[in-house]
Amino acid sequence: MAANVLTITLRTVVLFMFWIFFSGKIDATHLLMGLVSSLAIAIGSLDSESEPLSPEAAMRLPERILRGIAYSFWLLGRILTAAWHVSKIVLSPEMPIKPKFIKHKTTLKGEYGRVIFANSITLTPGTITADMEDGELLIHQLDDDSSEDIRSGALEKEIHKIFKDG
Amino acid sequence: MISSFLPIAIFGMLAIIPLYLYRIVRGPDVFDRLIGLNGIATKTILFLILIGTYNGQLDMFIDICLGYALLNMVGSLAVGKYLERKRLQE
Amino acid sequence: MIIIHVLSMIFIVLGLLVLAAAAVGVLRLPDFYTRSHAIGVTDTLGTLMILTGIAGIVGFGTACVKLVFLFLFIYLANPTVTHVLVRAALKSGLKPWTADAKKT
Repeated sequence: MAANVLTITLRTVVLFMFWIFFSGKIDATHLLMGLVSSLAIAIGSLDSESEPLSPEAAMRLPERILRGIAYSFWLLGRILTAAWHVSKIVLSPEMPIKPKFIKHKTTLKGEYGRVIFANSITLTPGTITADMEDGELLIHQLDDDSSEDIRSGALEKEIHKIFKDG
Repeated sequence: MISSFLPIAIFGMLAIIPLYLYRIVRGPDVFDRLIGLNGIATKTILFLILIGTYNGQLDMFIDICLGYALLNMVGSLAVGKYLERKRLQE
Repeated sequence: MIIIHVLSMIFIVLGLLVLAAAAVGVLRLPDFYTRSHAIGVTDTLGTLMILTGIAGIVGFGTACVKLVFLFLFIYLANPTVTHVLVRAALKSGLKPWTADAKKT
Protein backbone atom coordinates (compact mmCIF):
# COMPACT_ATOMS: atom_id res chain seq x y z
CA MET A 1 0.00 0.00 0.00
CA ALA A 2 2.78 2.40 0.97
CA ALA A 3 4.56 1.54 -2.25
CA ASN A 4 1.42 2.32 -4.22
CA VAL A 5 1.19 5.73 -2.57
CA LEU A 6 4.80 6.41 -3.56
CA THR A 7 4.15 5.41 -7.17
CA ILE A 8 1.01 7.55 -7.37
CA THR A 9 2.76 10.58 -5.86
CA LEU A 10 5.70 10.31 -8.22
CA ARG A 11 3.51 9.95 -11.29
CA THR A 12 1.22 12.79 -10.23
CA VAL A 13 4.17 15.13 -9.74
CA VAL A 14 5.64 14.33 -13.15
CA LEU A 15 2.27 14.63 -14.93
CA PHE A 16 1.44 17.87 -13.13
CA MET A 17 4.74 19.38 -14.17
CA PHE A 18 3.92 18.49 -17.78
CA TRP A 19 0.48 20.07 -17.37
CA ILE A 20 1.89 23.34 -16.08
CA PHE A 21 4.44 23.46 -18.86
CA PHE A 22 1.99 22.79 -21.67
CA SER A 23 -0.95 24.84 -20.43
CA GLY A 24 1.28 27.81 -19.62
CA LYS A 25 -1.37 29.36 -17.37
CA ILE A 26 -0.88 29.68 -13.62
CA ASP A 27 -4.30 30.41 -12.15
CA ALA A 28 -6.52 28.51 -9.71
CA THR A 29 -8.87 26.96 -12.31
CA HIS A 30 -6.14 25.59 -14.55
CA LEU A 31 -3.98 24.33 -11.69
CA LEU A 32 -6.93 22.55 -10.03
CA MET A 33 -8.03 20.96 -13.30
CA GLY A 34 -4.47 19.80 -13.93
CA LEU A 35 -4.04 18.39 -10.45
CA VAL A 36 -7.31 16.44 -10.62
CA SER A 37 -6.57 14.96 -14.04
CA SER A 38 -2.96 14.08 -13.14
CA LEU A 39 -4.15 12.31 -10.02
CA ALA A 40 -6.87 10.46 -11.95
CA ILE A 41 -4.37 9.28 -14.57
CA ALA A 42 -1.80 8.25 -11.92
CA ILE A 43 -4.42 6.16 -10.10
CA GLY A 44 -5.98 4.79 -13.27
CA SER A 45 -2.64 3.65 -14.71
CA LEU A 46 -1.78 1.50 -11.70
CA ASP A 47 -1.81 -2.13 -12.68
CA SER A 48 -1.46 -5.22 -10.56
CA GLU A 49 1.02 -7.00 -12.83
CA SER A 50 4.07 -4.78 -12.56
CA GLU A 51 5.60 -4.57 -9.13
CA PRO A 52 5.11 -1.30 -7.24
CA LEU A 53 7.99 1.09 -6.75
CA SER A 54 9.91 0.45 -3.55
CA PRO A 55 11.72 3.32 -1.74
CA GLU A 56 15.11 1.80 -2.64
CA ALA A 57 14.16 1.69 -6.32
CA ALA A 58 12.99 5.30 -6.10
CA MET A 59 16.39 6.26 -4.67
CA ARG A 60 18.13 4.62 -7.62
CA LEU A 61 15.88 6.36 -10.13
CA PRO A 62 17.83 9.65 -10.63
CA GLU A 63 21.08 7.80 -11.27
CA ARG A 64 19.38 5.53 -13.78
CA ILE A 65 17.81 8.46 -15.57
CA LEU A 66 21.24 10.09 -15.92
CA ARG A 67 22.69 6.87 -17.30
CA GLY A 68 19.68 6.57 -19.62
CA ILE A 69 20.42 10.04 -21.00
CA ALA A 70 24.04 9.06 -21.57
CA TYR A 71 22.81 5.92 -23.32
CA SER A 72 20.46 7.87 -25.60
CA PHE A 73 23.34 10.06 -26.77
CA TRP A 74 25.37 6.93 -27.53
CA LEU A 75 22.37 5.50 -29.39
CA LEU A 76 21.94 8.75 -31.34
CA GLY A 77 25.48 8.33 -32.68
CA ARG A 78 24.74 4.76 -33.76
CA ILE A 79 21.47 5.90 -35.38
CA LEU A 80 23.27 8.55 -37.40
CA THR A 81 25.76 6.07 -38.84
CA ALA A 82 23.03 3.50 -39.48
CA ALA A 83 20.76 6.04 -41.19
CA TRP A 84 23.65 7.12 -43.41
CA HIS A 85 24.32 3.46 -44.26
CA VAL A 86 20.67 2.77 -45.18
CA SER A 87 20.35 5.95 -47.26
CA LYS A 88 23.46 4.96 -49.19
CA ILE A 89 22.03 1.50 -49.90
CA VAL A 90 18.69 2.91 -51.01
CA LEU A 91 20.20 5.47 -53.37
CA SER A 92 22.80 3.19 -54.97
CA PRO A 93 21.58 2.01 -58.40
CA GLU A 94 22.00 -1.74 -57.83
CA MET A 95 20.57 -1.73 -54.26
CA PRO A 96 22.78 -4.30 -52.51
CA ILE A 97 20.26 -5.54 -49.94
CA LYS A 98 20.18 -8.94 -48.29
CA PRO A 99 17.02 -8.85 -46.13
CA LYS A 100 16.41 -11.78 -43.82
CA PHE A 101 15.14 -12.65 -40.36
CA ILE A 102 17.70 -13.43 -37.69
CA LYS A 103 17.24 -14.73 -34.15
CA HIS A 104 18.98 -13.23 -31.17
CA LYS A 105 18.90 -14.42 -27.58
CA THR A 106 19.18 -11.50 -25.18
CA THR A 107 20.98 -11.62 -21.85
CA LEU A 108 18.82 -8.83 -20.42
CA LYS A 109 16.57 -10.03 -17.61
CA GLY A 110 14.41 -7.08 -16.60
CA GLU A 111 11.22 -5.94 -18.31
CA TYR A 112 12.43 -2.36 -18.84
CA GLY A 113 15.79 -3.44 -20.19
CA ARG A 114 14.15 -5.68 -22.77
CA VAL A 115 11.73 -2.98 -23.85
CA ILE A 116 14.59 -0.49 -24.26
CA PHE A 117 16.56 -3.10 -26.20
CA ALA A 118 13.70 -3.91 -28.60
CA ASN A 119 12.86 -0.24 -29.06
CA SER A 120 16.49 0.67 -29.76
CA ILE A 121 16.73 -2.08 -32.36
CA THR A 122 13.66 -0.80 -34.19
CA LEU A 123 14.83 2.80 -33.87
CA THR A 124 18.13 2.01 -35.58
CA PRO A 125 17.52 2.09 -39.34
CA GLY A 126 18.20 -1.26 -40.94
CA THR A 127 16.92 -3.47 -38.15
CA ILE A 128 13.41 -4.10 -36.82
CA THR A 129 12.24 -6.23 -33.92
CA ALA A 130 9.41 -8.39 -35.22
CA ASP A 131 8.71 -10.54 -32.17
CA MET A 132 10.03 -11.42 -28.73
CA GLU A 133 9.35 -14.59 -26.79
CA ASP A 134 11.10 -15.34 -23.50
CA GLY A 135 14.10 -13.23 -24.37
CA GLU A 136 14.48 -14.55 -27.89
CA LEU A 137 14.05 -11.79 -30.43
CA LEU A 138 13.13 -12.17 -34.07
CA ILE A 139 14.89 -9.36 -35.93
CA HIS A 140 14.52 -8.33 -39.55
CA GLN A 141 17.70 -6.92 -41.07
CA LEU A 142 18.24 -5.01 -44.28
CA ASP A 143 21.76 -6.33 -44.79
CA ASP A 144 24.47 -7.99 -42.74
CA ASP A 145 26.21 -4.76 -41.73
CA SER A 146 23.03 -3.32 -40.19
CA SER A 147 22.78 -5.95 -37.47
CA GLU A 148 26.48 -5.88 -36.58
CA ASP A 149 25.89 -4.13 -33.22
CA ILE A 150 23.22 -6.62 -32.18
CA ARG A 151 25.09 -9.78 -33.09
CA SER A 152 28.30 -8.61 -31.41
CA GLY A 153 26.35 -7.64 -28.27
CA ALA A 154 27.57 -4.04 -28.20
CA LEU A 155 24.03 -2.69 -27.83
CA GLU A 156 23.23 -5.02 -24.95
CA LYS A 157 26.41 -4.06 -23.13
CA GLU A 158 25.39 -0.40 -23.15
CA ILE A 159 21.92 -1.23 -21.78
CA HIS A 160 23.48 -3.41 -19.06
CA LYS A 161 25.33 -0.29 -17.95
CA ILE A 162 22.03 1.49 -17.19
CA PHE A 163 20.80 -1.33 -14.97
CA LYS A 164 24.10 -2.48 -13.53
CA ASP A 165 22.97 -2.00 -9.90
CA GLY A 166 20.17 -4.53 -10.32
CA MET B 1 16.77 35.68 -45.15
CA ILE B 2 14.92 33.12 -43.09
CA SER B 3 11.53 34.39 -44.24
CA SER B 4 12.46 33.82 -47.86
CA PHE B 5 14.01 30.43 -47.12
CA LEU B 6 11.07 28.89 -45.24
CA PRO B 7 8.58 28.92 -48.16
CA ILE B 8 11.14 27.00 -50.22
CA ALA B 9 11.46 24.42 -47.47
CA ILE B 10 7.67 24.17 -47.22
CA PHE B 11 7.38 23.53 -50.96
CA GLY B 12 10.17 20.97 -50.75
CA MET B 13 8.18 19.12 -48.10
CA LEU B 14 5.06 19.35 -50.29
CA ALA B 15 7.02 17.74 -53.13
CA ILE B 16 8.04 14.77 -50.95
CA ILE B 17 4.56 13.81 -49.73
CA PRO B 18 3.18 12.60 -53.13
CA LEU B 19 5.93 9.96 -53.27
CA TYR B 20 4.32 8.31 -50.26
CA LEU B 21 0.89 8.79 -51.83
CA TYR B 22 1.99 6.52 -54.65
CA ARG B 23 2.71 3.78 -52.11
CA ILE B 24 -0.72 4.26 -50.53
CA VAL B 25 -2.58 4.07 -53.84
CA ARG B 26 -0.58 1.21 -55.39
CA GLY B 27 0.81 -0.68 -52.37
CA PRO B 28 0.23 -4.38 -53.05
CA ASP B 29 -0.79 -5.09 -49.46
CA VAL B 30 -2.69 -3.36 -46.67
CA PHE B 31 0.53 -3.08 -44.72
CA ASP B 32 2.27 -1.18 -47.51
CA ARG B 33 -0.57 1.32 -47.42
CA LEU B 34 -0.27 1.62 -43.65
CA ILE B 35 3.47 2.22 -43.83
CA GLY B 36 2.81 4.93 -46.44
CA LEU B 37 0.23 6.55 -44.17
CA ASN B 38 2.65 6.44 -41.27
CA GLY B 39 5.30 8.12 -43.41
CA ILE B 40 2.89 10.87 -44.44
CA ALA B 41 1.92 11.43 -40.79
CA THR B 42 5.55 12.08 -39.83
CA LYS B 43 5.96 14.39 -42.83
CA THR B 44 2.78 16.25 -41.85
CA ILE B 45 4.14 16.91 -38.38
CA LEU B 46 7.34 18.41 -39.80
CA PHE B 47 5.30 20.31 -42.41
CA LEU B 48 3.09 21.87 -39.71
CA ILE B 49 6.15 22.89 -37.73
CA LEU B 50 7.67 24.59 -40.78
CA ILE B 51 4.39 26.46 -41.39
CA GLY B 52 4.27 27.44 -37.73
CA THR B 53 7.78 28.86 -37.88
CA TYR B 54 6.86 30.81 -41.00
CA ASN B 55 3.73 32.25 -39.34
CA GLY B 56 5.55 33.00 -36.09
CA GLN B 57 3.07 30.98 -34.04
CA LEU B 58 5.24 27.96 -33.38
CA ASP B 59 3.92 27.40 -29.83
CA MET B 60 0.39 26.77 -31.04
CA PHE B 61 1.48 24.61 -33.97
CA ILE B 62 3.64 22.40 -31.76
CA ASP B 63 0.63 21.68 -29.55
CA ILE B 64 -1.34 20.68 -32.63
CA CYS B 65 1.57 18.49 -33.76
CA LEU B 66 1.72 16.72 -30.41
CA GLY B 67 -2.01 15.98 -30.58
CA TYR B 68 -1.66 14.79 -34.16
CA ALA B 69 1.29 12.53 -33.29
CA LEU B 70 -0.65 11.00 -30.39
CA LEU B 71 -3.74 10.35 -32.52
CA ASN B 72 -1.64 8.88 -35.31
CA MET B 73 0.13 6.52 -32.92
CA VAL B 74 -3.10 5.31 -31.29
CA GLY B 75 -4.78 4.91 -34.68
CA SER B 76 -1.91 2.93 -36.20
CA LEU B 77 -1.70 0.69 -33.14
CA ALA B 78 -5.44 0.00 -33.29
CA VAL B 79 -5.37 -0.85 -37.00
CA GLY B 80 -2.30 -3.05 -36.56
CA LYS B 81 -3.89 -4.98 -33.70
CA TYR B 82 -7.13 -5.33 -35.64
CA LEU B 83 -5.42 -6.70 -38.75
CA GLU B 84 -3.36 -9.12 -36.68
CA ARG B 85 -6.47 -10.59 -35.06
CA LYS B 86 -8.60 -10.59 -38.20
CA ARG B 87 -6.08 -12.36 -40.43
CA LEU B 88 -5.53 -15.01 -37.78
CA GLN B 89 -9.24 -15.86 -37.69
CA GLU B 90 -9.49 -16.40 -41.45
CA MET C 1 23.30 35.29 -34.99
CA ILE C 2 23.56 35.09 -38.76
CA ILE C 3 25.82 32.05 -38.41
CA ILE C 4 23.18 30.17 -36.41
CA HIS C 5 20.57 30.98 -39.07
CA VAL C 6 22.82 29.72 -41.85
CA LEU C 7 23.53 26.54 -39.86
CA SER C 8 19.78 26.04 -39.31
CA MET C 9 19.12 26.41 -43.02
CA ILE C 10 21.83 23.88 -43.80
CA PHE C 11 20.24 21.48 -41.32
CA ILE C 12 16.77 21.91 -42.81
CA VAL C 13 18.07 21.40 -46.35
CA LEU C 14 19.97 18.28 -45.27
CA GLY C 15 16.82 17.02 -43.52
CA LEU C 16 14.77 17.54 -46.68
CA LEU C 17 17.39 15.63 -48.67
CA VAL C 18 17.25 12.75 -46.16
CA LEU C 19 13.44 12.71 -46.35
CA ALA C 20 13.62 12.64 -50.15
CA ALA C 21 16.14 9.77 -50.06
CA ALA C 22 13.90 7.78 -47.72
CA ALA C 23 10.85 8.46 -49.90
CA VAL C 24 12.79 7.12 -52.88
CA GLY C 25 13.59 4.08 -50.72
CA VAL C 26 9.92 3.53 -49.94
CA LEU C 27 9.24 3.56 -53.68
CA ARG C 28 12.15 1.35 -54.75
CA LEU C 29 12.49 -1.34 -52.09
CA PRO C 30 10.88 -4.65 -52.97
CA ASP C 31 8.62 -5.58 -50.06
CA PHE C 32 6.87 -4.37 -46.94
CA TYR C 33 9.58 -5.38 -44.46
CA THR C 34 12.37 -3.60 -46.30
CA ARG C 35 10.18 -0.52 -46.83
CA SER C 36 9.71 -0.15 -43.10
CA HIS C 37 13.49 0.25 -42.80
CA ALA C 38 13.32 3.22 -45.15
CA ILE C 39 10.51 4.74 -43.07
CA GLY C 40 12.79 4.34 -40.05
CA VAL C 41 15.36 6.65 -41.67
CA THR C 42 12.83 9.47 -42.07
CA ASP C 43 11.55 9.02 -38.55
CA THR C 44 14.99 9.28 -37.01
CA LEU C 45 17.47 11.23 -39.10
CA GLY C 46 15.04 13.46 -41.01
CA THR C 47 13.08 14.47 -37.93
CA LEU C 48 16.27 15.12 -35.97
CA MET C 49 17.72 17.39 -38.64
CA ILE C 50 14.61 19.44 -39.36
CA LEU C 51 13.72 19.89 -35.69
CA THR C 52 17.32 20.93 -34.94
CA GLY C 53 17.11 23.48 -37.74
CA ILE C 54 13.82 24.89 -36.45
CA ALA C 55 15.19 25.04 -32.90
CA GLY C 56 18.11 27.08 -34.21
CA ILE C 57 15.74 29.52 -35.91
CA VAL C 58 13.37 30.07 -32.96
CA GLY C 59 16.14 30.21 -30.36
CA PHE C 60 15.90 29.09 -26.75
CA GLY C 61 12.48 29.33 -25.11
CA THR C 62 9.24 27.45 -24.48
CA ALA C 63 8.95 26.47 -28.13
CA CYS C 64 12.44 24.96 -28.05
CA VAL C 65 11.62 22.76 -25.02
CA LYS C 66 8.35 21.73 -26.65
CA LEU C 67 10.29 20.73 -29.76
CA VAL C 68 12.46 18.48 -27.59
CA PHE C 69 9.34 16.83 -26.16
CA LEU C 70 7.90 16.32 -29.65
CA PHE C 71 11.20 14.80 -30.72
CA LEU C 72 11.25 12.44 -27.71
CA PHE C 73 7.66 11.44 -28.37
CA ILE C 74 8.35 10.62 -32.01
CA TYR C 75 11.39 8.60 -30.96
CA LEU C 76 9.32 6.59 -28.47
CA ALA C 77 6.13 6.14 -30.50
CA ASN C 78 7.33 5.38 -34.01
CA PRO C 79 9.31 2.20 -33.22
CA THR C 80 6.26 0.88 -31.38
CA VAL C 81 4.03 1.46 -34.40
CA THR C 82 6.58 -0.09 -36.78
CA HIS C 83 6.96 -3.09 -34.50
CA VAL C 84 3.19 -3.66 -34.27
CA LEU C 85 2.74 -3.40 -38.05
CA VAL C 86 5.65 -5.75 -38.78
CA ARG C 87 4.42 -8.29 -36.25
CA ALA C 88 0.90 -8.12 -37.69
CA ALA C 89 2.28 -8.66 -41.20
CA LEU C 90 4.39 -11.57 -39.99
CA LYS C 91 1.50 -13.23 -38.15
CA SER C 92 -0.84 -12.80 -41.11
CA GLY C 93 1.65 -14.68 -43.26
CA LEU C 94 3.10 -11.97 -45.53
CA LYS C 95 6.12 -13.56 -47.19
CA PRO C 96 9.42 -11.66 -46.84
CA TRP C 97 11.35 -10.92 -50.02
CA THR C 98 14.78 -12.54 -50.25
CA ALA C 99 17.76 -11.83 -52.49
CA ASP C 100 17.50 -15.32 -54.01
CA ALA C 101 14.04 -14.73 -55.44
CA LYS C 102 13.75 -12.99 -58.78
CA LYS C 103 14.29 -9.26 -58.84
CA THR C 104 11.21 -7.12 -59.24
